[in-house]
Amino acid sequence: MSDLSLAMPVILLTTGAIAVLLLFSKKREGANPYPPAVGAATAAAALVSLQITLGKLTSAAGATSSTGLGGFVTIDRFGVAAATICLVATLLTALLATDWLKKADANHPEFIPVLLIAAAGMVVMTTTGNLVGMFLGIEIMSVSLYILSAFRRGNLRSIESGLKYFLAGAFASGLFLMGIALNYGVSGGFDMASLATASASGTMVSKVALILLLCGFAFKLSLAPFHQWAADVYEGAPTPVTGFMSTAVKVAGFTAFTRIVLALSGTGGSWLSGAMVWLALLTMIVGNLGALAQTSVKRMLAYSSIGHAGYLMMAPIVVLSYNAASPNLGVESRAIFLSTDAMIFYLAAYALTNLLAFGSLAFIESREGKGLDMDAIGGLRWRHPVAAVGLLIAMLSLAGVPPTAGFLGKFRLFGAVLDRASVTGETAFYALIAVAVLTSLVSLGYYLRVIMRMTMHEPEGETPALPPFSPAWRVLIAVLVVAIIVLGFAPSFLGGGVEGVMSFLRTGI
Amino acid sequence: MMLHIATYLPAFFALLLLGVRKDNRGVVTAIGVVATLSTLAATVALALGFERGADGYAYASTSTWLPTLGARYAVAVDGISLALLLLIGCLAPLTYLASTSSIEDRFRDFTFWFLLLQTFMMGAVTARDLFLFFLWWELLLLPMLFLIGRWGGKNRHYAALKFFIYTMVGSLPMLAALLWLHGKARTDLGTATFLVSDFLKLDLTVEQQVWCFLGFAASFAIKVPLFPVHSWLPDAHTEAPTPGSIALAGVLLKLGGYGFLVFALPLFPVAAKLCAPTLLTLSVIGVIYGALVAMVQKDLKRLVAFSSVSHMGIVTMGLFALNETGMTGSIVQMVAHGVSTGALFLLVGYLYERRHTRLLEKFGGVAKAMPVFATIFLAVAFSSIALPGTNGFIGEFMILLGTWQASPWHTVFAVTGAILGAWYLLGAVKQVFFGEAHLAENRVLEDVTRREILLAAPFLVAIIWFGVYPKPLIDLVKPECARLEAHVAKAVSAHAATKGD
Repeated sequence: MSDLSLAMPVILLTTGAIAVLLLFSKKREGANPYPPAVGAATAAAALVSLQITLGKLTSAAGATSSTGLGGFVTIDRFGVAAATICLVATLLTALLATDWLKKADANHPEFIPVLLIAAAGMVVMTTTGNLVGMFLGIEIMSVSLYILSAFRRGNLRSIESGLKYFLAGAFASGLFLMGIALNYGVSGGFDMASLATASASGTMVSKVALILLLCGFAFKLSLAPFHQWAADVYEGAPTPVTGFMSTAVKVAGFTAFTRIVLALSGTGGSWLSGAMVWLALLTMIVGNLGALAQTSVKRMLAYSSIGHAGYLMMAPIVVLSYNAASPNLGVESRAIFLSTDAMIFYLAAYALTNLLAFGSLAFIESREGKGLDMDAIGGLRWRHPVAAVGLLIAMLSLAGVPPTAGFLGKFRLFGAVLDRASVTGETAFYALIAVAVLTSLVSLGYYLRVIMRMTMHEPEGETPALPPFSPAWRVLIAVLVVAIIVLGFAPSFLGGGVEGVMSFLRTGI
Repeated sequence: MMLHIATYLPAFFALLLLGVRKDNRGVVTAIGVVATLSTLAATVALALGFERGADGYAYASTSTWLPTLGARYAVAVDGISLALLLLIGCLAPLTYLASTSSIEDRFRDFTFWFLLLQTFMMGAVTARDLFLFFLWWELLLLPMLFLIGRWGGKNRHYAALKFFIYTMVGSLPMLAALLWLHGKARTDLGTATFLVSDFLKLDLTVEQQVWCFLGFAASFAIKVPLFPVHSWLPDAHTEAPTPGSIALAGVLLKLGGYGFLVFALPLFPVAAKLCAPTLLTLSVIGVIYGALVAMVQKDLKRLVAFSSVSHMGIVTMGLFALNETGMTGSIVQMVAHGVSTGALFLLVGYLYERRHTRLLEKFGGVAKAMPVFATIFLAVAFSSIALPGTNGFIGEFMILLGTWQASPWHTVFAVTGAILGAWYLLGAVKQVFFGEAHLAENRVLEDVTRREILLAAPFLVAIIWFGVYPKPLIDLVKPECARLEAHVAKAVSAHAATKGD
């Protein structure tokens, strides 16, 4: 496959970013509706080019992946599925931010270009089989997000958020880079195969390298105990940015991390899984208990996203448990397939859900001009029925209650872990499931609190008349609600569409 | 096809409601009535055309749904399902009509959730794929959450939250157990499946059976509810609006018993046998405890709620007798309890609409002002305490008979509970209806209207009919129960044989 077609999504995204900068950078009074539209169109174009590349790949007989650009870009179903989710998240963020960008302190033309650059970083991260490529992707994405977090220049919280994110992120990048360097020292390479070589060598240095890589990702993915920055950053950042950060970053991060784990599985890297199990357990507990104690909806969602990262962490653990020496390799590779498949589905469900939640919140915030504490959403059902329905579905999906995508995501993810548990009988998997189930119950406490506040606490006194919804925003929320329900429920016997959507997200590993 | 129509009719009308203006109460009521009545017609049609196939199921249909996950849309009706379907179908129109007077605000939303609840319940009792069942099982929580939380009494938010979280606490262990089974089936049978019929083929060790059984039992025991996980029920019952209480008592609790009968017992027979003594003991404690607590209640509705705990204890006793008589009896008792407790909640609702209180001490001598109402109430109370000639007697008698064969001591204590039941309910009747009307309000109460009598009449008919001629119901569920007894006995003896080697 030609190098150009492999690089096309990134080229399109950066071109779009530059075009918006050149065309619309003149500051003007009032909102400019074009940049978000161009941004969304660019993300859509990148999406299409990605799918075309994948289409070419799968039509070539027997091929499952294609590597080019000096080994920098690797296109396979797993990466393309993840990149697709990132690009959809970018597209939706651009559209959902349209309303918010009209505000005086956010009315700067560089929002969309920076968003597109971040998306380019994510595409690089998800479609590379090279550690340096991965690092570049992480940096491109992170630097853009530092800027976006501090986007409200006049707002102290926003600046604090950007600075905190920058400091934590820079530290994590340092760890990651050190890990790459040590791995190079052992194996003399940067690609995934070099990781396997280093891991198989079993030397101390290679182990330190892996631990450093794990810590770097743990920071980026806000796994406890590396999560301290997350709540402040999520709360301080502009709401549409928080939505983007909490979804797309996780998608790209988990995909890159799982790629590393895939290279390690079956090469004697399984000693790492002990540390990963503890990370996952701690993250589930810290995230969910932390969320329970919050009074700000945004902060609550920050902790909830930590909790979800904990659930997602179970997928790489299952991947790492692959045993190359087993007599029944069919059962072993099933573990990898089921867990990566479940992880991608979970990420897709989670991305749509969180974008819906933050999209609704951003709207409420911009209409009511208040903070987003629990009182702000009291009686929302009567004030903004559309936003309330959006938040309701989002909360149900996050809690994993049917008929939502979050339910099916949890079902598949927990299913992958229990499938593995039933095969190996290892205590670690049972412990993971036990804690995952218990913390899911805890999570009901805070998700339900939002639902009950919105739908059952009737507003006191008279409610102020609010500016009407823009029709585009309504349509967007409706599309997201329908998408979440269809992904979670609508059965194929009613039309055969859902499995199609799912197979679109199949990882094919 | 008929089954799909019956299941989705209420949901269809619920979606139709979204197109109706909020304040257009007339149209909303019309849609609700048409929906519930046409669903009733559909369930009756199902009952008339009911004929078991070779595998014991009627209307069986299986279609691929989520092939990669192995979930199928598999539905079928057996005798137990049909009994519950009919109960749901019959209770729905009555409950809905009762709500037209008791629910004042946001009637469209109420009807919407009410109709969805009906679809979810009908889905749950016909699913033969555990993924599908779990989906319905979880979905059921949503309408109930809103019915209690929005239209309930003073403490409604607390009760709704407690109900929701309690039930979720139960269903997550079940989820873990069924996903584990799914993984086991992938390895042993080589297919991705959630079908009950496939899970039956799995060869599980006793330890595995016990763990999975406990996972399922956690969910079903909370729903029934079994002592000591019953504490959500009094709150939910008391705070729910009358239609919500009837739906809870009439159908939702029964789903717990249904789950035991259709999933937990057949899938894990050895574990069920091992756990039966414990569960019998818990049931008996529930029977006596529920009765004792009911005795000291000051609120009439709360009293009925605790009587539910007591009665459902008798139902689970019958289940864990693990013989045909006991299990048949517990299904009969489930239907009877649905009718009589549903009726009690309806009647308490009448009283509440007149006096806006349910405190026993605020009543007395009501029979003088409301003779017709008092007569109806007394008849329903007789059914609830299982007087011979009412439907309550048949089920309870069969259960005690079945339990006696399994464990006489449990039966002895359970009978005590039944006597206590007569004590508190008749005591309440006495306090409300008879004696001196010491409060002036109770002397001028208006007796039940013709509409209210018409609503209560079907309950009375059912109470007498099934009390005198319970044969159709017993015949309906007997084959399933006989098969289940044989299944459990066979598995237990097979297990004993392997242990002997």
